[in-house]
Amino acid sequence: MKSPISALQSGKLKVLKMFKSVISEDPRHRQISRRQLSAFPSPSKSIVGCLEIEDEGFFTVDDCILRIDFLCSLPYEVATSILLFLNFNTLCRISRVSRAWYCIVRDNEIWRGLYMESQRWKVTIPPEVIYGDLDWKKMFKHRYLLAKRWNEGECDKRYLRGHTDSVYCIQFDENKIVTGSRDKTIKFWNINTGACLRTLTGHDASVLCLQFNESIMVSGSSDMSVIVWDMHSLVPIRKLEGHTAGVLDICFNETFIVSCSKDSTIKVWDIETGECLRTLKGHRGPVNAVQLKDNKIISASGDALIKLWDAETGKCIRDFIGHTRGLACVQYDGKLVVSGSNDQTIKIWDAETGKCIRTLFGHTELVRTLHFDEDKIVSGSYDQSVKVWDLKSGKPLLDFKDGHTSWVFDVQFSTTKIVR
Amino acid sequence: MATGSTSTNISELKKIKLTSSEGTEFVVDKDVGEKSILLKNMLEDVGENDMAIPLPNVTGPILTKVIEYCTHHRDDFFISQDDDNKKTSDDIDEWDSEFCKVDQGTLFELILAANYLDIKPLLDLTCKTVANMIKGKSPEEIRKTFNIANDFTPEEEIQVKRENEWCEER
Repeated sequence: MKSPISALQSGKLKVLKMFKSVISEDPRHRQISRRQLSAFPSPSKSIVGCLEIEDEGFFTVDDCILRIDFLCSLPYEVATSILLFLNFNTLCRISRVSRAWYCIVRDNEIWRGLYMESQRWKVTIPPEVIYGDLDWKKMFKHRYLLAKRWNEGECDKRYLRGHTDSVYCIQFDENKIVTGSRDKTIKFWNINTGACLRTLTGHDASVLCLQFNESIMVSGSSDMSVIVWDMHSLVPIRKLEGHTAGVLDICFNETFIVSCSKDSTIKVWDIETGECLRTLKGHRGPVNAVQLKDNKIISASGDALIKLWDAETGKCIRDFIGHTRGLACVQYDGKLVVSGSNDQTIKIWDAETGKCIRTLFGHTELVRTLHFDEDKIVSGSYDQSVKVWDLKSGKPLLDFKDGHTSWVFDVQFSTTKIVR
Repeated sequence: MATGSTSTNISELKKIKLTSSEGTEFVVDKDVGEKSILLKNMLEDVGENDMAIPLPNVTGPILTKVIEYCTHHRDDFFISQDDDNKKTSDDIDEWDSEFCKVDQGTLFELILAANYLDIKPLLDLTCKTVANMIKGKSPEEIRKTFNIANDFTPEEEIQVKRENEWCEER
């Protein structure tokens, strides 16, 4: 019959063997399943005296007190239930204790549990992936680092303090972020340092919307005007007046500036002369968002309708009907229209047919802003979250719930950044 | 009516007998013993019986501790922890924490006994106690606490450190 101590040591030997294969570089062979390790011999009752240690040159008075390597000595499933009470920081730290601890702490079930606890990290595992093949520690690590990076982005945002009131709109490029605020100013920020580069004044009320390219910037305000700025000198070139209520959104291309207003109209301006070419009437509520693509205008209104217009003729081409509450935002890429509404949904529409392709549920308040590219939709809501969706499947990919403590007004992203 | 109340009394006073590994007999109230799912199931299976239940895996001193625990908690309704929430080891009450102030050998055997006897709250409590011995300690402090030799080669030590530094608290 084996003595308890020799049983323990054979358990240890087994872990050491496993360690050799686990620490080898091929990550596919790194997970340890419960099945592999649960075959540990569990030491029988009463272990008396000190366990042997390998360092023969080191003794203290402490060594005479019974000390037990709990994780190695307990049956595997009991050892892992101790680990369940530890957080991931502690787990990572204790994997540096010994080879055996390293192995046990890699338990895939523990990391799966930790991953699943993080509510906003919900994953969709493609059916072709065998559940047990996933390396949950690695997945946890990636998600953790992504979330951490996002948090660090938050810290950067703290640098952007300078506006004395709410920021309504933003746009960024490689070098700068431009923001418009309720404090009536537009600010230019260094995207890397977060330093405020310039503050522009000119509007008499909140700056609600802006767009810039290399040569000009156009901004719209609650003061009912649109200002066209020279992007080099940053001085106003002209002021476009005509709306009878706040200008809620603007956009421009080489030919036109399009503005929409709380007065329920959309105005098309000549970008060269500033002349108002036409006023588009048809919405029965404030027009909250407008976008221009290939001389077509897409507009979204508080009347729950999206309209597609011809900028050259001013004719309404098509209505997109389906949202049950007012619309806050819309984007159009020539093929698809994506809209966000007070009915808490995002809808993806076929611009050609006017049919709703998909409705995305998830936000719990008004969807205030969105931005999409060929893969993803990023949406920001009054529910204070920013969500990332897969454009094709409509599946939610990411959910940043704890970044903001107030309404999210504007969002824009590129491959590496989301700025809101 | 009188019969009814008598039978209630009898079931309240019902005792069971347990034998520790050394052969010592312990007599405990049935409701205390049934905190152990193993014993509860056994009693259901064997029915009314005066025979002592042998517990060859549990020594007398440990069985005494286990009975002490089950007696203290005899009126508790054990709720199993919701698996969706992160388990915490910060919620040990005063009596339980005093109960766990034992040497490592006793704690170790208590864990084994709780596991064997299937007393989930005791298993949780003892595991939490070990978790608390691990928490907040450096790898070296943990090695000292549990008398563990650092068996990493210097290269492995560097690799394992690097592998796990992504979550180092700063």
